[in-house]
Amino acid sequence: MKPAGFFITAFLLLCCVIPAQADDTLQVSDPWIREAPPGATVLAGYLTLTNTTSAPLVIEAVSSPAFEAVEIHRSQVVDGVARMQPVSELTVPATGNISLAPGGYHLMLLRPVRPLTEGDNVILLLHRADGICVTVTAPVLRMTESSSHQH
Amino acid sequence: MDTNSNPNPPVRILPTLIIAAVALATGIWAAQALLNNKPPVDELAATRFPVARQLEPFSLVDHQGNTFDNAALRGHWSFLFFGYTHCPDVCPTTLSVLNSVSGKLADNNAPVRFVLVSVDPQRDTPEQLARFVTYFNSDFIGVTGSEEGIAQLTRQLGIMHMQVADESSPDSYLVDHSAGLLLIDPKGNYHAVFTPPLSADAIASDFRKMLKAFR
Repeated sequence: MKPAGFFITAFLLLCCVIPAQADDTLQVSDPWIREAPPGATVLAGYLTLTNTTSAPLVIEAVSSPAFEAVEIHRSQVVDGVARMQPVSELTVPATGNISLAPGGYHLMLLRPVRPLTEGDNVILLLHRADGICVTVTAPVLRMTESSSHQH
Repeated sequence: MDTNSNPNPPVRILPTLIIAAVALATGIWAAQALLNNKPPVDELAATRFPVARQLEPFSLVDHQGNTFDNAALRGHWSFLFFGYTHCPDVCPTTLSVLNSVSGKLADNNAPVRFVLVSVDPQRDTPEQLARFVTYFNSDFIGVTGSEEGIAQLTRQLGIMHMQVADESSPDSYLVDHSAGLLLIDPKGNYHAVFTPPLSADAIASDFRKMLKAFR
């Protein structure tokens, strides 16, 4: 990792060490990380964010101690072509929600610090534009079509 | 006002009858022509070509190091999907759908193969593909090759793929690619295409219909 990247990651992690006041304005449900084939350097993470306030809430960045970098991406099929694009921030609408789900918005989790398999839990830190940091524990799952378990 | 007060005079009945008779005959002829030309493949989610398209020569390599060319497509049905292993969202989702299709078609007598063709040969070595595709199903096949080799296949199939810089991660790049699922018949011809969103049920059910109609 480049020094600048390390500094940013360290800073983002640090901001979550400072305890935020109990805050339920942003609720996180069904977080999970898709188990990837062995040796994968990119994984995808999903969750649903619900904003209980009457103003939009913005997620500026996401970080995780389990990955060197985390980006917010969006997959879209435009004219039959699958495109994936980085998104600079996520806006959760006032009293509304946004779902990060397969084939749409997702967390692009780059270069896992160690291999992850089903049963592992990963900490994700959601950095809100208002300075509040939300800690999420996401299980690694081996999921198949329509979010059903495959075994 | 009485709307029935103006019946057609007898002299106008004859032309009307002639027109009706011609229309009926044309209708019967058209229906027969349509029924004769069209095998009983109704209501498909897939787009099936009236005449399957022959493929131009191409040569690639599969994840076990074997040649993957026109001959490798003959003798069985193949589902071809284009993607890359550094794709964490769409490609694993599609391969999971294909794994489900494979399960649904397990009772089928016709051999079916599922092939991921890499649109990122720079990073997708046969070894990398082997780890990726066999994770989803041990029978899945990963195919890669030179940029030119990949282009030999994608160009003729109308598959678009393009490297895109990832602004937030300069060391890596993304690949936009056509999201269709292509069906190649046992003669090695391009038979049909499924466009997203892909549903395992629809693919399996369409495949059975097309298999029945295949000669």
